[in-house]
Amino acid sequence: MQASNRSRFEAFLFYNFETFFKHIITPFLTMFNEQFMLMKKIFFSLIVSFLAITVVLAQRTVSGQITDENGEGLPGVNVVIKGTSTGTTTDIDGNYSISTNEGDVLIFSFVGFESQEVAVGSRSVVDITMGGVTELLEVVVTGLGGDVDRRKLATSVDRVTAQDLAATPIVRIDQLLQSKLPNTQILQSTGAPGGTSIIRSRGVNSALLGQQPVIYIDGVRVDNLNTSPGLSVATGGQQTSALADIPVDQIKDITFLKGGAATTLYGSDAANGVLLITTDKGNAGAASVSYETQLGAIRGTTDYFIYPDIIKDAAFRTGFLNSHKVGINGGNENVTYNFFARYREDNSFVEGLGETRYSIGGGYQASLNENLVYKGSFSYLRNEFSLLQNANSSFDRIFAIDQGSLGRGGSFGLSTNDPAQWTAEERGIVKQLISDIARLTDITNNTSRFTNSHKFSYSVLDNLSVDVGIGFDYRFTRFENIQTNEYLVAQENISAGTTTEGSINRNDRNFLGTTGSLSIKYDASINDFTFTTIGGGQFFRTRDVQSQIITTNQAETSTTVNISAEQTVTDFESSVANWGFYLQETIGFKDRIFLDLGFRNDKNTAFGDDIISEFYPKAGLSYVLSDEPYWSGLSEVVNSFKARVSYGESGNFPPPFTRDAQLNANPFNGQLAFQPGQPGESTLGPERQKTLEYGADMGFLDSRINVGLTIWESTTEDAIFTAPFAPSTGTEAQPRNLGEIKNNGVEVSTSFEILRGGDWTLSANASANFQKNEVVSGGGSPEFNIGGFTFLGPFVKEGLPVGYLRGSQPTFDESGALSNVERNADLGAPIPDVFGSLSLNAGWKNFSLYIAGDYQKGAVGVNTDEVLRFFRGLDDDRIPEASKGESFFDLAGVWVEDTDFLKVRNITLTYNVTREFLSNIGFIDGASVSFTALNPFNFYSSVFDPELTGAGARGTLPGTNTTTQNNVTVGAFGYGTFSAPRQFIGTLRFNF
Amino acid sequence: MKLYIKSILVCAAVVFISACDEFDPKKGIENPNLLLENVIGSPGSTASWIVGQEREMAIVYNRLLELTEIGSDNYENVQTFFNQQFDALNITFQDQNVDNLAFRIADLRTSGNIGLQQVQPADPDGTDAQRAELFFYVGWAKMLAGELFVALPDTELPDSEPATPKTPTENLNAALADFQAAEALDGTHAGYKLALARTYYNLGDQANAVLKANEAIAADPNYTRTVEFDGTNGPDSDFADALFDRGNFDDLQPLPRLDFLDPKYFVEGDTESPVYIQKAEEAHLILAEAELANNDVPAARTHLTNLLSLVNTRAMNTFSDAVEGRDGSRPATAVVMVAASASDPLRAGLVIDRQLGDVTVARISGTSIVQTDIDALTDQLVALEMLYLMRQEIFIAEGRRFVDLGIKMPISENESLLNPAVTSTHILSSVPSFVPTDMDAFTFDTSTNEVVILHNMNAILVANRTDAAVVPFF
Repeated sequence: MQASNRSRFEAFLFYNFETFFKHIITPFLTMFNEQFMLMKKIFFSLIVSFLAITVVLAQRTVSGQITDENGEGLPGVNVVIKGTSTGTTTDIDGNYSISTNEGDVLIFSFVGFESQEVAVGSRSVVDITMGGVTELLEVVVTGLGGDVDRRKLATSVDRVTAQDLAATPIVRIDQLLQSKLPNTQILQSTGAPGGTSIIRSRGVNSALLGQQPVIYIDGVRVDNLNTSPGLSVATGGQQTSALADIPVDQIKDITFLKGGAATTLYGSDAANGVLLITTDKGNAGAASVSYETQLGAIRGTTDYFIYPDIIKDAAFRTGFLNSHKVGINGGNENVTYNFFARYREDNSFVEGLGETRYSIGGGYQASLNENLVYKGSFSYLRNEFSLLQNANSSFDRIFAIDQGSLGRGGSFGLSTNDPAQWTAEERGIVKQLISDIARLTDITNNTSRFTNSHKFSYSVLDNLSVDVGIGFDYRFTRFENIQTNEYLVAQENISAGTTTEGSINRNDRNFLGTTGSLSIKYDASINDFTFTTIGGGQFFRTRDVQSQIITTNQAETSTTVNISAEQTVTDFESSVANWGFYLQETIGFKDRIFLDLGFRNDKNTAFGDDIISEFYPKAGLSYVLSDEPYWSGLSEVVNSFKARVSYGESGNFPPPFTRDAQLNANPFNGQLAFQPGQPGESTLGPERQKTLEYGADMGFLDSRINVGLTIWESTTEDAIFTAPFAPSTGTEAQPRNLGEIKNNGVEVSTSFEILRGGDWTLSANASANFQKNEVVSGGGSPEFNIGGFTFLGPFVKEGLPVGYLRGSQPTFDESGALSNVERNADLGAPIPDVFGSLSLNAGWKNFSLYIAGDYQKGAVGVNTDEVLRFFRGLDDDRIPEASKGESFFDLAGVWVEDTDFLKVRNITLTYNVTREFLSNIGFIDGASVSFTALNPFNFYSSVFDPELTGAGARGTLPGTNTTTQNNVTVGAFGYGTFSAPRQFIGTLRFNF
Repeated sequence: MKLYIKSILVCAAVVFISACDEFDPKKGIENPNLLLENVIGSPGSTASWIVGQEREMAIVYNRLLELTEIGSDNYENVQTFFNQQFDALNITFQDQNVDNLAFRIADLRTSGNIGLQQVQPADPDGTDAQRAELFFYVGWAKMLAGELFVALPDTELPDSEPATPKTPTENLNAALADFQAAEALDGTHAGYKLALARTYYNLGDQANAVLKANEAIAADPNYTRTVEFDGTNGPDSDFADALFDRGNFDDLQPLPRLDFLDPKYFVEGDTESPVYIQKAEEAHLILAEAELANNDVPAARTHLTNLLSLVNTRAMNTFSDAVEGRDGSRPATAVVMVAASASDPLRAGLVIDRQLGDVTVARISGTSIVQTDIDALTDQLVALEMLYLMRQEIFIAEGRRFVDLGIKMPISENESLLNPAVTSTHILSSVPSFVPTDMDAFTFDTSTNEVVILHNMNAILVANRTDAAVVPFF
């Protein structure tokens, strides 16, 4: 009986167990497999982090303070044990602590100061005073195989440190770097949250692909999509960017390798340059807690409006920004850490916009034994922002004032569309309308991003080290527009009482980028020769999976797509794996002449199973002439002089499967429709960029003046053009390796230390970059457009710059009548002839002042607002009276304006509270107070904001139906979106 | 020391094991899209191919209607990014819209040929009726090429070299062959007969046009064929947007004498009005015009009476058009009287007030002509002018007026650059000398509520009826 019961019980258990697994666990695992895998990785990665932190080795500790020639503590100085990758950095007061062995030699290095090497011996305190500014002795992170002395580099490399960033209370990487990279131009496409930017360093090297650099955080490649995703909410031309949420709170150092010669070892996709972000892993010493708070007022700029007072009154308000960041930094000789959390909220200068950001993160470093160091970092960021319709949208109601569309045909109860004629009552109507629309608009973009990196550095021998790294960047974005009937009625888009026109447009994008790397560095020397060999491999995979759901007849007030009459689904995927190995040999002679040879061999799955192999070579030479004995006579005036020349190749891959002949298969009225699609190009390969650069880095008058000069020329061979076929063949345009694009230019960057020492300091930086861009060959194809409008758009044509503006150029006779129209005329190019940045640092005792700005000259853009005003009879006086009845197609050229500008981006005044004062308080170790004005002054030649581009990049390949992303954009269509607002921000920082 | 070694091993193992599947290069690199070779030979492939042709027609008509309606007296492009040159008949070979329309027509033709040559023969479910439909679409593409362009090549398949441009007559004759092939496969289909009648009409072949028009009416006296749009998945109807769903950028305004027919298309939810590209009315119009060419006005009256009877049975749409924006320079109330020209009488009832509740607009065909107007016809040329007014009204927003006015687009710049057979005459548009560029101009006296249109284009057509470009039977 008992046995029988037991077997029944077992059977019962078994049945339930099986049922449980079959119906609950298995489906659960299947459904959540991907999420589970991700969670697993997060979990394991965290375990690794904590394991590493707990492993501690007891060694002898050396500590000390690093000061400058004035006795002020220098924060952020690198302290490294020679021959190892073990190191730390100094804290805010210049203090450090590091675990050493008796025979160790410490290397102290800091930007702009001469590095020093000190043998530890039996000392437990090593204090250092640093001086002798020389850029050539700076150590630069190049990402592969460890740090490199700048003197050895045959290419020009830009570096920005945490100190440079401290004065800029901005949380977006591209805006943060605006005006700070001397040879790179960063243009903000919109002042609304989350918008894209245009980043250009050495011209426009592709007529297909976006120009933003690839970005690595601690060796992990992160999502850098800076155009609209394949599937997105249309908000009227404004696009959103993944650069909006790259974590910036723990940056220690940013290195920018400009495309071409400097990025060869990064292989495919590195043609636009590589931005390397290194995070702060903490400093040895007692735990230091920091708190930073920012409070600010945000005012929309009315500089570019035609009716600034009306728009200001009707739409703008004073926005409020508040931010709080808490950090803890510390460690001992073996383990250091740096954790932070930040909350930031910006309710914007216009009702309906706004951004809230939550971020936490940390960096940590552990010496696992005397030869093995682990470095890790992670960050989690959640960014939520809301948008309004703008630019090229019928639902925009703010820029519509300038464009003369409000009140047209008596809409919204207005008597006229000419805002200058509106009565006070009508202005009230407009104000109420804008407020109502803002209240009813529900366009939100929510992103969660988790970025994580791990690196083990093993010193096998004094001169042989191995680095192994792994990490990932996971980013999820939901971009959604909920349009209610109430909203559409308020927009006068549907008749009052309509209940069937509500909709949701929901776009989810999942991005997972995984990076693994291995590099080996070997140093050797024979007599006067030194040999540095770096070899390694790198693998990265990006998975970008998107889906879009659009509903119709969405029930009012509901926010789930289920409550609608119909749901339409679209997906988009762009996944690719890239891996390769590289080898670089740097041969030094007498520590003055360095010959640099290397290559990368890359493989990529952009063409599916047909994995192709690409070989990218490089060679360079740098010669520090100022170290030669014969230079001593010159050194009073020219104290450092390095000449360099470099050649290198890099690549740019088309989107995956662009090579394949495909059918367009679309749903059409409930059926499946087959149509011929992309015809395919079986020989399609990557673009290949060959760059030759030469120049010199010079220091004058004890490095009070530093000048960097680079002359460069870059040719993109096999440039991919999506040029049309003869229309009568019915063949869709297909990306083909048809063209050749040439960019060349001169980069000049200078720094001046006008006052050094004493109570006063004064220094300035200025740069100028002269560029020329030309499509050298179109491969026999006709020109094709890459955006814009039919009547006026950016085109690609042999003999002209990429994206030159094509449209009709009118000529008027004396009476003002149209006398001639040159069709398809070259109306100028949006790429400037010269751009650069300017900055000034001044200090007096504990006060410091920072002013930075940038400029461009020689570019043109389209005043699209004026085109719209022309339609509506509100044109300005650029068109003679006698020609006001002409078609805007014939008049296109009149709306092309020079877009020269000088914009002051940042003025920051900081006061570092004296130690004497703080010592009275007791528990506060350091404090500072800053006041910042962002975007305070704009000087410009055009009637519109020359920086904005409402048109954004295309969502499809030119001339095709193929949905894509990361397309080239040259900007140039300025209209209907917000300019970067003026912000007045106070910052308080405390260290406890 | 052991602790550290263990820790390192654990760390390394955990990290790399957890991520190792990520480093398999072959993982996840399949093209998720569809290739032609996957489709050929699969059951049901022809059905999907024909749906593809229907979808292509939606794209063709989006391009075609924009250009041809703006390029006629039917609509004026008031303030939109739609083509501006066509309004002033400034039609150049550099116009991207011309290039794009030529491409879409070619796409319709070449994909139809793929269907005929590769997809339908290999489809185990393929039928003669499907084959007939594919012939119809290929023929339709050639017919549009003949009607709309001074010349166009008819390259057969997408990846082949461009062919020699064909004259309108050659393209229309090529279209006849395809329509005949369709008719041979499906002899009862009114649409194929009507397509033949239209093509013969364009060629001026009165006898065959009359024959096929009569056969078409016999096959289906109420026949219609539409181009549908898909408001959910696209393509949307661009023209419906321009006429009904007006925003900041879309605004086409009708000639005041056609105001009562506007907007022919409207949008409700994801339902968008179709475009009627074939309807039995056309057969009656051909028959009536043939009789007028024979100077048999009574016989023409009979056909026009039959036509009016059919038009009066056609469905109407009733909807709110209150969002319509007629700015102050255009008539917007029912009291307005409209004269077709300064020498024509003022007529009432042509303008609707859209702010007084729902409007009722003809869905398929509408006309301002009533039976008494037809009964009163005795003069051949007066009748012909009325017939062309009825053609204009019945075919409004269907892309036909441009052809009736005898205007033809040139071969585009891209074709001329890539096709060595294109000559300098091919890149010039053809606009009859009697067609003025300000066709849609009018004066509106708001004090008297009187609109006078500058040119009565129907009268001008009749006056120039012997010109080879217009009125084919004369």
